[in-house]
Amino acid sequence: MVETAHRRGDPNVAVLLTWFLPGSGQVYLGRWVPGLLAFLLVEGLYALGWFLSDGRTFEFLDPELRGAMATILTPEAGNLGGLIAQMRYVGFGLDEPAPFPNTVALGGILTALSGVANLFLMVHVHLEARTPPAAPHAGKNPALLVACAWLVPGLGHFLEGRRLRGTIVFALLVGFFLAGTLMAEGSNLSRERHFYYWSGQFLLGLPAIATEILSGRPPVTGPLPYGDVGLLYACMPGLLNVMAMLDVYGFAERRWLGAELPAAADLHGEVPV
Amino acid sequence: MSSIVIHTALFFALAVPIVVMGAFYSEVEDGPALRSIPRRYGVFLLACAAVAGVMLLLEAWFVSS
Repeated sequence: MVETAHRRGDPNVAVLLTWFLPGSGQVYLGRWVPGLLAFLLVEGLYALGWFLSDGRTFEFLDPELRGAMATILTPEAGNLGGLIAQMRYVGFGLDEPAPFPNTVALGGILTALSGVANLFLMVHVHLEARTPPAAPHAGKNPALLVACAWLVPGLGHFLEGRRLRGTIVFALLVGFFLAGTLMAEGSNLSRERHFYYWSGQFLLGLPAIATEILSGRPPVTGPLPYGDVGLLYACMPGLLNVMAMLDVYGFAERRWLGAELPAAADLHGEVPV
Repeated sequence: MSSIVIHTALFFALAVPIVVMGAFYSEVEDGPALRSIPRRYGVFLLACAAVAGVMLLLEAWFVSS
């Protein structure tokens, strides 16, 4: 760990503040302008998504699944303040059945995007809090690389110069997602139909979002003999992309903090002083 | 082809990205990571087979009437 005297602040406090209120972690570290910009970006995304979905995204959940912890496995949980506000003011939507607005799916994507963006902000403030103010940096910003790794699986590795690994990650994760989408005949692309599987595949970033938007979320018109397997095939790459992002972060953080690259077994352990 | 064969083949295929990502996460260098994949793949399939076997045994003992 970096010694406390050389830190800008407590990284755990910075992360918790950011989780509840995007940008507040940077304000805590004395960086007012980036904090304000981060707040406007992340909360602006959430507010726009809330507006477009009329706050009814969580109405997709089956009534028997609705509860205090039901939303914790959604991307929106990355922006806890926004999620709490939504649950406080609109909860799980209307009590009486009513047609969803035409933009409800887009609104759901934007609120989810806000949660994921805030996760990257949390990664950034945690690193920033541990970095001495005048410390020299090497390599690209780890939080930025993690965001790239989410946006396009393998891109983070590629930008780190680990091109073979990045290519394999991209081919495997995107390939299996597309195979799953074909087997499920696109039924996995609807958050309304598969709320939690959708949350998993959202972690695959642009390939999942672009496929959903470009496909127009095709309706189910008949039996799906491999629908369940397709759901697994589409969701699993998103979850595995979290491992890819952690791999990218561990590699980038050591470069950023100027640490020697360790033996393989130690890579994901404690960062040395 | 029977459904169980197809689903087993699909599981074998899905095990590939799981094992590869596990190898990449554990090994910082590409060479050792790629060389470890066959062993990891075998261990993963054996462990899954063991779990499936235990579940089938439990089903046979406790569920069947």
